[in-house]
Amino acid sequence: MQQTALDQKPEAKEKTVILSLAIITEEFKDFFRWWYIEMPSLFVGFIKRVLIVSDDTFSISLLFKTFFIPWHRDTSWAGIFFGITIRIIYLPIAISITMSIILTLVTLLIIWALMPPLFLFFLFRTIFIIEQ
Amino acid sequence: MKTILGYNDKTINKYGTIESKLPMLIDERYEPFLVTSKQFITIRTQQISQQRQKFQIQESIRTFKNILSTILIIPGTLAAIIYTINFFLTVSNTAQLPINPPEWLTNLTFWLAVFGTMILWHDTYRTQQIRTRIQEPEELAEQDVETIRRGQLNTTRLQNVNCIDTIDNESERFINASIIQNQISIYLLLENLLKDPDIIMLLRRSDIESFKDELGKNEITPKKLPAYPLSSLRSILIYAAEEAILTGSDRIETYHLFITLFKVFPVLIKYLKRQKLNIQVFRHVSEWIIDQRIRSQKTRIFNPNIPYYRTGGIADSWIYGYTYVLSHYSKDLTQAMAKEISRYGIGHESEMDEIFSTLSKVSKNNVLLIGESGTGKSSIAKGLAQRINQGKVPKSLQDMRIIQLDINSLIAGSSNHGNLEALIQTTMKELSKAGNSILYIDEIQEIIPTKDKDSQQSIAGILLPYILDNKFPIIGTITYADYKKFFYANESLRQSFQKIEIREVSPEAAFEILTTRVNELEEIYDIEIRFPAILTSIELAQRYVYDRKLPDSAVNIIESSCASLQNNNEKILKSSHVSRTVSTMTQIPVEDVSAEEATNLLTLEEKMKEQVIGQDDAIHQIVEALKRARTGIRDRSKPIGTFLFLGPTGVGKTHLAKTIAKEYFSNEKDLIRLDMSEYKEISSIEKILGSTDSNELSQTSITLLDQVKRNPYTVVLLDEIEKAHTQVLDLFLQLLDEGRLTSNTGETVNFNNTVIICTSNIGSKTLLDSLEKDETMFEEAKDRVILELRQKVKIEFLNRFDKIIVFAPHNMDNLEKIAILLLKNVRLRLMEKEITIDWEDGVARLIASKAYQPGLGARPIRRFIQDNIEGLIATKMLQGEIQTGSEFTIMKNMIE
Repeated sequence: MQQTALDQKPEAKEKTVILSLAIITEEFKDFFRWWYIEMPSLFVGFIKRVLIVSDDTFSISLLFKTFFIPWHRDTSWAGIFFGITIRIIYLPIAISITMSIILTLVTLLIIWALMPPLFLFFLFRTIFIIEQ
Repeated sequence: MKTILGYNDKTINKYGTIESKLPMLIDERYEPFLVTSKQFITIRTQQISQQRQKFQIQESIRTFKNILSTILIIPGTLAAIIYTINFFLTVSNTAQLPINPPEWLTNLTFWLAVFGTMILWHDTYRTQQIRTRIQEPEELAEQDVETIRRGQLNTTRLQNVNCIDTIDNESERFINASIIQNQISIYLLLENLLKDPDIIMLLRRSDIESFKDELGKNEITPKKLPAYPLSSLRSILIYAAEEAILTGSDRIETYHLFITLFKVFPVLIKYLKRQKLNIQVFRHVSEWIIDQRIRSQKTRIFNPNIPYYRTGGIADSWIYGYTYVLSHYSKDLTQAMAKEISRYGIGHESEMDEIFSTLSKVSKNNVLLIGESGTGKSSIAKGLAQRINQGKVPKSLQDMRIIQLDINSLIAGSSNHGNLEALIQTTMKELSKAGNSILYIDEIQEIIPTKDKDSQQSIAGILLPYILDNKFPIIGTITYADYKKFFYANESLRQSFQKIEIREVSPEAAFEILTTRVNELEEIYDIEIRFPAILTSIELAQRYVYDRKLPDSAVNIIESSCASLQNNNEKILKSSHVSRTVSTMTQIPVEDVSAEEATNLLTLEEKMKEQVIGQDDAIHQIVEALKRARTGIRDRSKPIGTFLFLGPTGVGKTHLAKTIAKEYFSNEKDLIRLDMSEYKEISSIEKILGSTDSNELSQTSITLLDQVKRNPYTVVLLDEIEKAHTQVLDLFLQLLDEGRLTSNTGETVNFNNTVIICTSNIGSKTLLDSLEKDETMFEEAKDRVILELRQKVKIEFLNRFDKIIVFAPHNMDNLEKIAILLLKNVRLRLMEKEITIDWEDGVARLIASKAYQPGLGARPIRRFIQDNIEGLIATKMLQGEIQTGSEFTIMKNMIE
């Protein structure tokens, strides 16, 4: 049978209570550490990954690297001209889409950060309304 | 070696290593530790006690949080659902639900539910985290290992890790549940672990799911798995940490604890041995479980913890040139591999590094992969494509793609494009212009014999300018035989390629390859594969399949077993199914000896003595060899048995060989018999090894090697070996020693599942003379025969036989027994016509004495019975005196 608090001697009980309070305090701290440091770090990592996937899917950095390579390596003037033109038209569109996605994710991150104070605000507001 | 287990004797501050047997260190004086190339993992009893206390409190808090979250979430969820329904009803101008809570209540419950969700989310996240990860170590330097063994340890450059911090939440829970009054109950720990789904999966995949039923029986009792003081938990956790490293995990999980118990406690070790398993199977299954978890994550491309492999994207094709014609006859292997989750090129990492080094060169950057069929040459090409996708290539090869050319479709399509030469020129020009491409041709030997109809130039000739100019790197695959046949003569082609030999993968790599295919095979055949079956397939492939190499041989066995299982509507693939499949494939019994077969083996000697008269010693030697073979204790690299029978004609040498084939190998007709008098000329070697002429027509005759390939489990009888040419006999030196011969086309055939019997008449006169003089002179005669044999046959040849047996000439008693045996055969044949025959006492003796001719053995008896008994019966049958159903007795006066 596992020892419960009731079976412990008074000194041990006191130690258990101190340890429990320490753990509860730690849980609170840990919650805020998780909410404001760990999860945002993970989310930033996620945003970075989205950026990489988007860059790869839309071939943005690849097209920048090969900006002057002719269209399908057709080294005629038409191929060179078409290659550059298509990049000039395509890249801004691709970059805009990517930026919209990133902006949306950043907005979600901001909402995440604001959620605890928002929760407290709306909770107290609701209680205030009830009282009224 | 990646880990060293050891202990620190605190009283004398000396280090020692724990090598084979793993003790439970109870005495606080000894502190266990684990050393890797990166970390020094230790644990103290005090840490265990503190962590235990902390865990108990945390569990209470966790339980409270879960209840609180549930109380907060449920009303909020209900309110949200009602609110949403009412909203849509309002929008669609329909009457709202009768339940319509006030807005403040909806808001309050909603925000409380949000709060509850936040708590739950945090809690779930925390239970999956560990405080410290175990880092994947590199191999320890030999020097470091020796230093620690000598009792010196320098941990300053290593990260100090508290083992307690590496345990996952589930394991911590099980450990705590197994501690009673400050003692860890091993039996209780085992019982608790058996409830874990991962352990259940581990047992199922290891094919011992009935282990749970063994608890409390057969020594797996609390008495044999007792409770230990808490200090002993240090040992268990340190050993479990080692298991975590060996299975590629970064934390101690439940199956690491489970495996540790099977490493430490003798009763569990014994249980595994009874099941014909070992710890390695558990480790393999654990690795597979971890691998499954990683694979499922690999599909989530947005997970930042999983590597992302670039595919090039929408505009990938814009930067390459047009390959309109080429695309019809090729495949972009890099793109195809980007979608694959399975890993390719396993077991060939060093070869792939060598390939990349060659491809990175400016000139002579073509690669030719040479290896036997089934060694994984094509898999290497796919593995190369995967590494390009992963970016794990030299800088010069990044963003390159591998284009696999289909020669056969190119040849077939040449009719649509004018001619083959024009088509190849077009495709190669496209490829040159496309840039950033590597050409891959599987079975590259096809390019040499195939010629364009108009110009009569071979594909190799047309491709040669591109090969020599290094316009793009080329990878080709070919077997040794084809390389010798096609490439060797072509100097320029041969010099243009860097040869890289691809050898058979190791059994460990073959196992890894097969485990990557488990999911695919289970899905295709709708069965479950147990891991011992995979291990058995690799073991049996190495032992019995000679025409394929690993991993192909093992893959073939597994797939055949799966197909066979599916046909029989069975759902679980076990070792026994694999053994059965291999037995069917190779015609060699590889399954465990059944009760029936055991009885047959034990009575084989008696049965053979009934059929072969007077040669008990020879029979005994051969039967002992067969028993050793069947029970698996013989040396498998040699034939089952090699015997030389000496003796005069008619004593039963060939008859014994036929009896073995009939009684043990179940078919007398499968006996492979060579009359060595046909091998007097040196050119007769071709009858054994095949023709040296590569012309197909000359390969049509059936050689000894062909016969053994078709029937590898049989008796090979070489009659009258003294008549063969000496160089023919030299050929058999390797056969008798190593059990294999290599044909003239380079194919190796194994004889290690055959019984090889050679017969010779050397010394016959000496033996016959001894019989005439005195039967007791036989032993002396035997020695003289052996001397005579050594003078006529090379000693190195004789030395390779397991036994040289001298057959004694038959005396009258033996001849009488032979007469009885032959009469019984006649009786058996007549019983088919429902005619019963018998003979008077003394008839057999009379036959023996009448038929006896010195030096001719039993053959005159057979001829006598044929002429006098069978002839007589035949005459009487024609005369109507003997009819169907009648009985006939052979009397002495019929013979006199």
